Amino acid sequence: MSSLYFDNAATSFPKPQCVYKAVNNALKYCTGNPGRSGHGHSLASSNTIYEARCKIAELFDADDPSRVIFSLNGTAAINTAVFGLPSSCKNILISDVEHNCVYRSVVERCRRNGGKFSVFKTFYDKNETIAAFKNAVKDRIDAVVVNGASNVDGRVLPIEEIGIRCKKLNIPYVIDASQLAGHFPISFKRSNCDFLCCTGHKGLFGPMGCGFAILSDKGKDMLPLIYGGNGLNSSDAFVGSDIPERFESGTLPVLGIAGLSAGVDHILKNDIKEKHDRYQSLISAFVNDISENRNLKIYHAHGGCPIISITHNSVGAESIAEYLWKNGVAVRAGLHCAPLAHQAVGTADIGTVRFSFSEFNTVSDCKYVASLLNKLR
Amino acid sequence: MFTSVITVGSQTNTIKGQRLLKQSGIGTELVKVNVTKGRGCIYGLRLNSDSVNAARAILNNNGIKILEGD
Repeated sequence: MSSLYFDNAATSFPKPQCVYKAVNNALKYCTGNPGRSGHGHSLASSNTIYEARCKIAELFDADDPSRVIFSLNGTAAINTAVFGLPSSCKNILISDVEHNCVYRSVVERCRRNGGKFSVFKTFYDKNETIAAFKNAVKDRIDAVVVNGASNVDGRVLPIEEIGIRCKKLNIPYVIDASQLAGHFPISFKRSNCDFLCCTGHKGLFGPMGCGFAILSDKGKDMLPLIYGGNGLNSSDAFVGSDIPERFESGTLPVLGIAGLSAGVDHILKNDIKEKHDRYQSLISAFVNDISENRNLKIYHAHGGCPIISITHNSVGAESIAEYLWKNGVAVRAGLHCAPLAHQAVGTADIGTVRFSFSEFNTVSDCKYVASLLNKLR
Repeated sequence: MFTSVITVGSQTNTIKGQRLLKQSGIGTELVKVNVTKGRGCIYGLRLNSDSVNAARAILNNNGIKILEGD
């Protein structure tokens, strides 16, 4: 299918060639269930998975690869963290730009456990966000769950500064790095977080169907979400304390993990700062060409993740997305599973059209899309 | 000839240990250890008996718990 793809915040496409090759190789050669047997088929899968843990630990500046646990997607990792928080965590703080994976899981946890959540305001200016966060934790807060970047306007949250405060307060800290990863350097160590959750198929270029989390000492003692066979100590009725197996019951998505490993390797081999600068040129080319259009309103945090949302004075978001697709451009319209983030920018009733970029987009692609938008009446 | 086995536990830790030992020039083979009473499905490293002490020290120094060795 030939098209210009601007829906990378939903899932990245295309992937680097090494990802296709890795998935294909895994299908051919990782033919055994990892962690289940001593034969070569199983060990090939296990070694591929361990290699992926090592690469993820390197990219996220974490010391121990065995603290990287795999899940089926970012949402599963977030749910593991949110429902694994100690039962004493009754007051949970989230930001006003959360995706539903955080928002709904926190709401459900509070509903089941009788807790409550509060929301702190974020801003395009980092210092204003830090001030709002500090103000919010003046009340009793037992845990903090935040995303690293908004999937609506690309604004980036000060995850390290939030982590310093959480450490001082000695409360669990969970990060959803799904939109941030691959676009900004992330240090697990400097973030002081307990559960850094991430999807594999967005900025990290893995296939869909694979996510992960990185755990701190506090995080590794939290309760798993899923129980069952993990290939270890089978005679014991309890899941045990071995990390990562404690959090990895059931067969792991080996193909997804192999592809993710190749995607992470691709990122490690390229300069993330250079990539970020390139995104800024793409975004500038796009924004400059539509900024004169008085029918359009642009929502984008300058210097943030490569995500721009727009609204039109008279044409609905889905109608614009359909018009663009008929002209060969793939974007996402609607609420992007992030109602809080839309409330924050004032688009909760109408949604937006979202353009999310990857390293495979070009300036001429951006100019073509801008020209289509400028033809809208 | 690999005649001794150091029992580690999880396959992840065993792979981690195998890689650490390889960096120190100690060759090993990852094996699934026979089930014993009260314990099932665990992994270990088969290695040359002359390397066992050095290997155990390396694993211990890197926080890899050893369940038993012979």
